[in-house]
Amino acid sequence: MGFVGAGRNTRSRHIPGLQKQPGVEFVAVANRSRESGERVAKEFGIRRVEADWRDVVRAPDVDAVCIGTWPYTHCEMTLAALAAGKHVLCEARMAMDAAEGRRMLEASRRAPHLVAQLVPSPPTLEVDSTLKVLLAEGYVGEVLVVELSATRQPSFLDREAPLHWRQDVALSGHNILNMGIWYEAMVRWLGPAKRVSAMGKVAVPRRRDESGAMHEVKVPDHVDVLATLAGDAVAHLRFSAVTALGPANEVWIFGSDGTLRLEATPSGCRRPGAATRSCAKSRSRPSGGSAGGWKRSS
Amino acid sequence: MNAVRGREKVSHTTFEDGVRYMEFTDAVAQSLALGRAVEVAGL
Repeated sequence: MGFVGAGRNTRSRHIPGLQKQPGVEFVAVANRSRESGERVAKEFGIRRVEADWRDVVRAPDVDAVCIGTWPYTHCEMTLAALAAGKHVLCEARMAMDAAEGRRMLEASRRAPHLVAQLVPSPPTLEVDSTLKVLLAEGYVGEVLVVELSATRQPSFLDREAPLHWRQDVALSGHNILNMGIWYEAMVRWLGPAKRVSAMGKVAVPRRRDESGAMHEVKVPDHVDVLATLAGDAVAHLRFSAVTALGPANEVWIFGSDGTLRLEATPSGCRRPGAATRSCAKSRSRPSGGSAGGWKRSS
Repeated sequence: MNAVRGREKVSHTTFEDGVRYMEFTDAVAQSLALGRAVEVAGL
């Protein structure tokens, strides 16, 4: 394995998970600076530190590349890795925009012998399979309305906080908050949206970056999306970084014969029983909770 | 790792899945910019 970018998620999740896999060797890493790369290499026993990420991607002794950088680099790095014959695990968010995503997809299709994978949306992995089966079996009947709220916030707005990379359109592109993560999960149960109408709010229009330079903030701190889904169900999706003291993240799926409610905890969704048919008609609480084919390393 | 070793296929998250959420993301961004509803492109 070679690592391009070794931020928090790579250090806390990907590398420890890969360490548990037999036969995996950590060959090279390139991080934001050689110094930070050396710290990561020392901590995890990575053999070589490169100053340029291209040297990781091209290295003949690297078979697969884990890309853990910010979204503005994902497309270029993925294309380079696939062109060099490397398998790719790329951090979410996939890309700056759909055009970049499609270039990555096309490149992966030109190299079907290589694995091209994105880091999965985690919050509902434990219950995805249960939800999918319940909906397919008609547990709620016809799906009519979906309410998804990802607004849990531990604190109020900090107007003086430095610009976060997720708030910087030059680094994050069209991505907004954790919208893509939740949408990816929702698609697993309900399929893709057909049409959307959105309203957003930038709470702090100008922020300084870590160097003190002022930036106009264009990525919303809050967005409400109305969407139509397959079968013309209506979805209201709410994502926010400013709704302190709001309720826990949750999803309601209202059907013609029942309702499913999914409550997410900070570490993910509750295990079996998270999806309950609790109103309208009384029926047994759904069981299950398999991870839908996803296997956590443990 | 099992996918790399040819033992199974990727279940989560494929590049097709990624393009789906990026198309949704683009549609939301476009709707915010235009102030109206927009279609979400399929794969």
